Amino acid sequence: MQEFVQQLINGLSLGAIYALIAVGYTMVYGVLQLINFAHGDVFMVGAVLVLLIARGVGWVGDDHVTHSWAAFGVCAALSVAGCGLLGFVIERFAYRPLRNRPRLNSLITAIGVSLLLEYGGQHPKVFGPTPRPFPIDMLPGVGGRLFSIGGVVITRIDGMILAITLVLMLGLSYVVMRTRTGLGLRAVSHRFDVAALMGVNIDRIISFTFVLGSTLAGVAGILFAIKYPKVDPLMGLLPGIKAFVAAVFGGIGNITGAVLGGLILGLVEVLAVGYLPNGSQYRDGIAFVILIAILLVKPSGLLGKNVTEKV
Amino acid sequence: MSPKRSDQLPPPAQSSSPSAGAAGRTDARAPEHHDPAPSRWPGLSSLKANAWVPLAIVLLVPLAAFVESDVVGRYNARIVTLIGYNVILAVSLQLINGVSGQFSLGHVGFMAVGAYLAAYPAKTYANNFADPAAVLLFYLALGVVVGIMGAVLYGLLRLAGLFKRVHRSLPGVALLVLIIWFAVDISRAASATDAGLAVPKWCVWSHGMGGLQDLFDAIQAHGASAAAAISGHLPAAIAGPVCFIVLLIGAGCCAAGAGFVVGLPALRLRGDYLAIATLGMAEIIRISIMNSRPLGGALGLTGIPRYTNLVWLYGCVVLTVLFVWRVTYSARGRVIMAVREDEIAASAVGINTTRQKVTAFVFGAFFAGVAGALFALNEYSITPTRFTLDRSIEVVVMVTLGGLGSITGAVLAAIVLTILPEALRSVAEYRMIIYSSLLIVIMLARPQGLMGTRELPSPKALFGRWWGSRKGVTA
Repeated sequence: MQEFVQQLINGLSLGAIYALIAVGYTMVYGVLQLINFAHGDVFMVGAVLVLLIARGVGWVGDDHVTHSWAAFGVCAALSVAGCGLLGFVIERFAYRPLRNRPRLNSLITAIGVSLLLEYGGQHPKVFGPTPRPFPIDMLPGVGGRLFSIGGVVITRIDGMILAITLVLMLGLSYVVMRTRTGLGLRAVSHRFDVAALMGVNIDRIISFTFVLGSTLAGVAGILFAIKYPKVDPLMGLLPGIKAFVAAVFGGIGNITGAVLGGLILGLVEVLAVGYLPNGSQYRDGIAFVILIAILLVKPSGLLGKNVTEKV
Repeated sequence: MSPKRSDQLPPPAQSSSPSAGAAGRTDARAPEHHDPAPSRWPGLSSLKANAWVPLAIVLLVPLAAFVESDVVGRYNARIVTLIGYNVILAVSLQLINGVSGQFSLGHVGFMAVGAYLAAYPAKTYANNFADPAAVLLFYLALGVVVGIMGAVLYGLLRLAGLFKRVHRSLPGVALLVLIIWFAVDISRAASATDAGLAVPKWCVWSHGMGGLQDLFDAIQAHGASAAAAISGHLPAAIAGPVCFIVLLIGAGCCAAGAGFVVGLPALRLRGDYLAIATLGMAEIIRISIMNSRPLGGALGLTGIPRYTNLVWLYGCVVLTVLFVWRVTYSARGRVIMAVREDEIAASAVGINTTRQKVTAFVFGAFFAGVAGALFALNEYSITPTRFTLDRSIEVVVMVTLGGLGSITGAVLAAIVLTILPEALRSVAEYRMIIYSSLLIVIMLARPQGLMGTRELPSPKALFGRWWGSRKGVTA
């Protein structure tokens, strides 16, 4: 029982990261009906940029590390801002010119952007193909335990991940449900052309969606790197796909569904690894099995609306 | 019926009214109205690939033999080989992505199935390509076993579907429970055998699998002597090629079977969902191979006998292109294209859209399997890392660059995109960056690809002027 609860907590903190990425997928899908394949790579950029900035400023060297939460915070903030900018640039130059073309074209440019970020990152002058340790030492005391109840340990990292995710999700729901921009976002995702007729600036809303989603992905990347302190240019591939599965699972286009899907996916993955024999070998296959099962059983997802196609 | 008749009635009335002479002229012109195909499908008559085939065989096969003979060097011969695989993969994917309009990102999964299911019998049963009957027996036994398994699963699913009236989600829930049960069952049995214990009694499915394994072994054992006798009667000169062809077709059929199993559920999905589902299927195939002991696991299968050479490879290339071409520009091809153009309209005129999509998928998977078999029987060893997502994307890029729907385009793009990375080897660091930027730039600048949906005209239409046949040019 104690072990089970421990597994649940591990699953929740992994699921929270998936949820942060999945929200970006689902928002972009909501407004553009496009799978942003590059989203997982924005997640990667979030983690990699922290390391690059820290090394560039000199807080992390080959033999020394600055032990300072503030320094790490500056790096993280810059990196998240960079991710937002990257999201804006990707939308502006790779997707917007193709907005009125068949969706397949955007899907292919999305794959192109994804490959560009991965291979660009693998270039030795940018990052290089080999994984490098994440400067988790910049955060003194992060490795300890937060508290333990009856033998179930909640580490500070897990606590931090859950707390930050909770705050961001509350912030997101405020932005989407209570602000004017959020109203525009909902209008665009409901009906693209009618929203334009009602005076919503569609280009601005879509850019905003990308910036918001990419920012969250950047945060998720940093949290993921703190939890599994190793970064490389291909680290975004699998979490990206799994987060997409989470978004589909919850009902793509539905933000609450994405969060729910992310949490469930994280739980299922951790539990399967823990309790199925040879589970760890099938770890990455589980997400796909879930994906295919959900597509067969309920393609609209847990909370998604059933859209009937009109002729 | 009746409105059509009333449309056709007026012209004779008009033409007969001016004079009797004019009426005679219309009679003389009447046969032209029954002119067949060319006027109905403009351009189709110039799309005949048949005329290119003798030319292709006359040119390609000796060329392949020439390259094989080490005159051009190992490195160039290697590139020519890669072009061969890529042309087969790209042309077969063109059938799925271009002609039927279904965006598959899992083509390499079928290639993996073909590669492994050619390499395993070639290594275990083929006796260095002297025993085609044993290989055939392997595929037959595999077919029987998979058939029984499929029948049981199908029965279980139908059983789950019977309860549809109880609640809409019940079949789905039952399916999920079944999948989880299989997973637990198989893995429990596997860990029991790992620990040297007997498989627990409640592992029903795994016992069934064990039974099937026994059946498989029994078929092998009973057929072995007959197979050896049949193979013994074959002259050695024939046994090798026959064995190789059996391996290619067997591997292709296995991949086609995988395509059928994957396609039947997945092809009910559309667009992006299908892309992700096929990607997932390909990953599941790869992960399964990585965890399969007979297939070598993550270390791969080594010591595979080699038989493929460039002549065989390019023979297969010509056959693939010819087949895909004939399917695309046949009546069935038109039906498949109708599904691509507008699925709702197609189903409204009575086309079973899922069936057409699965057909294209199965044909495409077959040739991907053949490509995999050719690959496996050329490389001495194969590992699951050769069949990752990157490879699928590479093929998708070829199809897209060539122009979705153009077979000529797929062939050209496969050649260009195989040579391009090699040509960029001097700037090796930037090679993949250039490659991926190219993909974006092409999509932005020329979304229809190099060729659009155009094809190479028939040689008569191209060279008719020099051959002195005016008819070929006008047709």
